Amino acid sequence: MVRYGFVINLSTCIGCGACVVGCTEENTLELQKISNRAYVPIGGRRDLHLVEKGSFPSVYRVNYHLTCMHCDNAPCVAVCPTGASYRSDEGAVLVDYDRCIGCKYCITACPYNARYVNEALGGPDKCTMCIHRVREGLDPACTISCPTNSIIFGDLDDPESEISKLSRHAIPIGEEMGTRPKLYVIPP
Amino acid sequence: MSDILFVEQSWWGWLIAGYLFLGGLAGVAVPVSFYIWYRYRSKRLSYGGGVVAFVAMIIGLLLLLLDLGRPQEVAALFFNPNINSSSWMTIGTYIIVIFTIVTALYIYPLIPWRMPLKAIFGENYIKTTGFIASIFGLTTAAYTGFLLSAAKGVQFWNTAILPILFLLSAASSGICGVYGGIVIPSYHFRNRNDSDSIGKIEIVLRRYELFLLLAELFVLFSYLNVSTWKGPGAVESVNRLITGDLSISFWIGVVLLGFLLPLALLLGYVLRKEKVPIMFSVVMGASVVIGTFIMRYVILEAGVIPVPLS
Repeated sequence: MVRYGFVINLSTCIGCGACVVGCTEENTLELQKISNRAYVPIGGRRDLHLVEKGSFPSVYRVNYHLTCMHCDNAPCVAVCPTGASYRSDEGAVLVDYDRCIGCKYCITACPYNARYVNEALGGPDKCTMCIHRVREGLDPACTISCPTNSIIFGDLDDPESEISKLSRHAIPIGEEMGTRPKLYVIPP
Repeated sequence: MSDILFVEQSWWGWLIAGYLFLGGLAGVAVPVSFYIWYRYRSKRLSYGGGVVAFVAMIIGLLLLLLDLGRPQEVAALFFNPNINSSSWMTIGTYIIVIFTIVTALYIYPLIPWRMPLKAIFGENYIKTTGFIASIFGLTTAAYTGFLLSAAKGVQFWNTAILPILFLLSAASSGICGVYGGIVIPSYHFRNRNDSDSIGKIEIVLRRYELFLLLAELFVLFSYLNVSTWKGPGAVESVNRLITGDLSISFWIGVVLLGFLLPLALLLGYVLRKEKVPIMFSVVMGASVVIGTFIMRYVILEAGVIPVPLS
């Protein structure tokens, strides 16, 4: 069994936003296939939140990444009435739109605010870990768009993989909430 | 490193608030009207409460459907092998559907209009359906609180006291539903016996209403007070209610209209044994009902998700 996850190295992230652009570019096409619409705007699968820290003259900026943690114990999956939100075999938290009624319970349940209402779908939309790419053996769009290789994707259960070595020194975000997130950050 | 990004909950608005409020009102109006039927065995006295509850539930279910982003998939709630039976949304769906159907069965023989086959429903039928409808009604009133408290993202809702607050406010608004369905129409009763019974019922309802409003006010206070210890997201929510962007709705809509005005009216009349003027019933009932709706609305709106950044 694989257990895919992300490590984001905040010490090398320059906050350029290429990951956001790459994500939108890749997934607009994917959503068009699901919803049979010519244009499906994506506006919240992944975002950056830039925070300035320190005091003059030692000032620095932290570029936080806002996206899905693909929790192993996902609150959104726990509350979904129809089982439309589910955790796939690869460890990705996904939405099955054949069963989603658009009640938005999952959006209020997510403590990371990783979901948003996509008007074209009428329901929640979220990071899919680019599962259509991952199943073909490719890396997610955010990972390949990053110019400084700050987003590392891979199998957390494989002890030899780069990500599982890095994750030992990284912090899983909001771990204390008991969600068992699979997105780790290396502090700046 | 403990940066937090506050995101205001904006997905559940007045449609859901209206549903939560109507579900609570209907859920308590049925047991109260069933009690009146049980006590006096008078269809004429008790049917109004059931009718108010049934109409409220139908409107509430419509509001729920309107809020769904993908209503075309609503069959997934009923015909679906993968249904998540531990979600409060699923449990609640079944509770409200059964409640609405049993309420319809319960009020059918009570309604004084001429309708077919009514003669065959005896007292045992009313007793059974009324009892089942009352149980499902109280469950409906209670589950709305559990629905919100299970939403892990919103720290302000994530508490054991919310179901208690919602059950109490459902009870106080449910009694006002009975005022609207039974007490206020009874001012036109010509029959002296019915009028006397309504007078006695009204005195009991008035006392329960006073007690419930006081209890609800206390629970609301402890909810807001204890929330300030719960975490940054809950503190943000309380600040928005007390001094922030929702403070006008909270102080005028909830505290003044929902509690102080009806409490003043009730305290003025609580010791009197005679039937109250119609304006008392109308103003007291309307202010509690509007105040309860606004309370559900501001509690929904005040939801804040404290997103941990690192």
